[in-house]
Amino acid sequence: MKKSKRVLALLALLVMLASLTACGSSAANSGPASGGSGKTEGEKIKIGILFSSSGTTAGVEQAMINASKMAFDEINAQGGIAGHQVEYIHEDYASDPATATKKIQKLIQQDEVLATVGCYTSASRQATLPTLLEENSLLVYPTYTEGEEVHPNVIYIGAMPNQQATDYIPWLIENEGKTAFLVGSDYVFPKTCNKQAKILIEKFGGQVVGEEYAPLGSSDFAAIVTKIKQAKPDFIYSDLVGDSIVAFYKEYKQQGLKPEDCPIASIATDEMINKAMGNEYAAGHYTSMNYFETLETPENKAFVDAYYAKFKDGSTITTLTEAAYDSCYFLKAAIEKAGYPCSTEDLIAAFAGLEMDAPQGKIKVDEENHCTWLYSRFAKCNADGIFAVIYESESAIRPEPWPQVVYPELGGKLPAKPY
Amino acid sequence: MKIGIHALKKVPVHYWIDIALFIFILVFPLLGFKPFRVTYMNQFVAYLIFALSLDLIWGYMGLMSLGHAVLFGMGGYAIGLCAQLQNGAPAFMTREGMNQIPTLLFPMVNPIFATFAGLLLPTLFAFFLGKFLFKSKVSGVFFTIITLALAQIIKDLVINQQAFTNGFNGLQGVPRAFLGLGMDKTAYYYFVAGVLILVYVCCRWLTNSRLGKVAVSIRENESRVSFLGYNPENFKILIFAISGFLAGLSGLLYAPAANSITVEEISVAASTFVLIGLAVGGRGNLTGALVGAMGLQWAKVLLSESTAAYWQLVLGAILLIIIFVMPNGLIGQLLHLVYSLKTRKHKELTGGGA
Repeated sequence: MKKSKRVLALLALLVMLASLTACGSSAANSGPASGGSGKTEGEKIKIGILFSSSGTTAGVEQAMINASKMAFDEINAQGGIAGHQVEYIHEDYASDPATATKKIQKLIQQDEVLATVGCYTSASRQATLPTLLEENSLLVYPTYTEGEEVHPNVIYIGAMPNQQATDYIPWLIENEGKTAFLVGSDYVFPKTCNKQAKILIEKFGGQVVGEEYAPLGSSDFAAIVTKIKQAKPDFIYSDLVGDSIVAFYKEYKQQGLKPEDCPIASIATDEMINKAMGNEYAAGHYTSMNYFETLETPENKAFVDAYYAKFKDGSTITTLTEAAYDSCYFLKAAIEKAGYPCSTEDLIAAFAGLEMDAPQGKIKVDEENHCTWLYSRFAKCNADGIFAVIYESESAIRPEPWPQVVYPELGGKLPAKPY
Repeated sequence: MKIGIHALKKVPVHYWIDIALFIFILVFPLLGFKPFRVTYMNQFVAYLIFALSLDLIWGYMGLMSLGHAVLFGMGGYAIGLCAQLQNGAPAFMTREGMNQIPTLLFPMVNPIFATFAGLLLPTLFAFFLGKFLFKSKVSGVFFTIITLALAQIIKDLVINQQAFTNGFNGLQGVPRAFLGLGMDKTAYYYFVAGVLILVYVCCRWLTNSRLGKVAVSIRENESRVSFLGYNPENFKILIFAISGFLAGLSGLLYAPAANSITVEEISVAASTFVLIGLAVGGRGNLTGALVGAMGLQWAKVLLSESTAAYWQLVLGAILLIIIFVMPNGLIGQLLHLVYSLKTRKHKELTGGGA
């Protein structure tokens, strides 16, 4: 009896030791031991990729993972960054902000990455901010966002609200009519965007005849579509996101509304969602994005062909995919400009004014506000479910994290406390 | 001296595992891991209190709650909201048109009040929920379904009441503090570890007390217990309320360790994850809850680091195998083994027979 108990206690201890060595060995694998030889010539530059490959937003983020890996593979094939090969380390934050915090800590402290490309949701980005500040590391964030945040440790490659709406809304009022009905998911992104949209609509002689928010993830749009039918707007301005988009477009059609009379003008319905809901629902509606898969530039053709040749996982290229791809090349250019090895401060400073020929055209990081000059484009989805671009700005337009039309007192500059 | 050693040998084997685990937790920061590993461990230690709280109702009462993370979230959100209110109305309130802190929330600015709110709210919630459910004889799978529905409702409520919860983005930037006393990383780590050990001792005492024995009897045969003159409902309500309190405490300690609290942490998935930990570790002996929850958390971290694409598949397979081979969980199986060895020896000594 005594013996068996001792044996069992010993076993338990062994299990614990095993788990100890398990985390110990992984700590040693990529810890300072491997990088301890100093910054030599052939040393690899470590870069983190932080997107979800599991959880609710994995579907969207898979293409962003693909694009980032593709970009770094291309960079490596072309000889790397300033003579150094890139070693990218992908971590999955499982669509969970708390996990995003854990993973950015792991990337910075254990893998000692120079910078990280990543995060899709605003929640996940915000969850990484305290760590980025504390560890003084850099995040290149590719998602279009609501703005009103410029963190010193983040470079924003995705669109700011002004880049999606400034040209879009006047065009809609001129071509579709003066009355607009705003529909959005009930959270920070649509509310902030609509604040700007309302001002723009009134500025260009339009009128907001209704404004409705559906709970995030909601799929019941019967009441909202009924209200739209009563209000009879000339167009619907939609900042719905995720699964709600599909539900809304379907309800719209089921209740007999027609794109010819009252199209949906969205800022978040992309190629992937169109594919998910099918052409019969998507056709005839507008979307404003910086980038569409169908762009006819040589850079874009090369990008799209390379992507689909490499990834046959059913993922679709959207503006997010392109932004993730651009983020990697911007990071490369910044490292080259700062000279490797470089401090985080130098690296962040190097982004200011950096230009690149992206698939969407010539874009650049703003000198002051950490955001990116991007094209304004909008497209109409045709009967084949393909976005036909109907407008594009002549050149990339300036990002305004605090749009001038909403905050005239700032004059396009940053406020005293920008995050 | 001899008596001392003899008494030591009478201590059940799983108590030794508990002690080893606590020593492991206490020396963990000294083992030279990177600081973020210690931060992970700090969060997991806070989670162990949650696992204990679930073991009380699932392991000892046989009631599986899929909404327990909601009670956990009440503690976390209370302390998170307190942190957000320190500099006047936060951005998510002003965005919804509230430029001043609403009168109702004003006491929450005080961290001591917020702490008590974070402990009391889940306790009362569990108490009243228990009162409604158990008094109307809801039990078994129906209890589970109701907690599942409630969890989903409350998650949606939190997502959509953005003026108070910051919706999907959650409450970020929760400082390491308790009752308003700020702590550095190490101090907070040992504080949480200390609370865990205290909670563990209380749970051990509770489950070995008459109350715990009645709880197990209710799990095994409720009608017989009531036939003997007990009122099983009252016992259930009491244990559920205690479990709610511990869940709230766990959330209250977790949010500062993780620096944030979001809806993902109060979702059904979060509850399920700890339930799986319990199933793997073995329920109804507290040790299983500790070992299972701790093991699963580290497995999740280390597997997702080594195989970014398929880690959930690998984890799932491991869990399935464990539960298939050992339906009582790791610790349950161990205790069973010890028991059968004992009885065999006993039989040998007494020369076989019954």
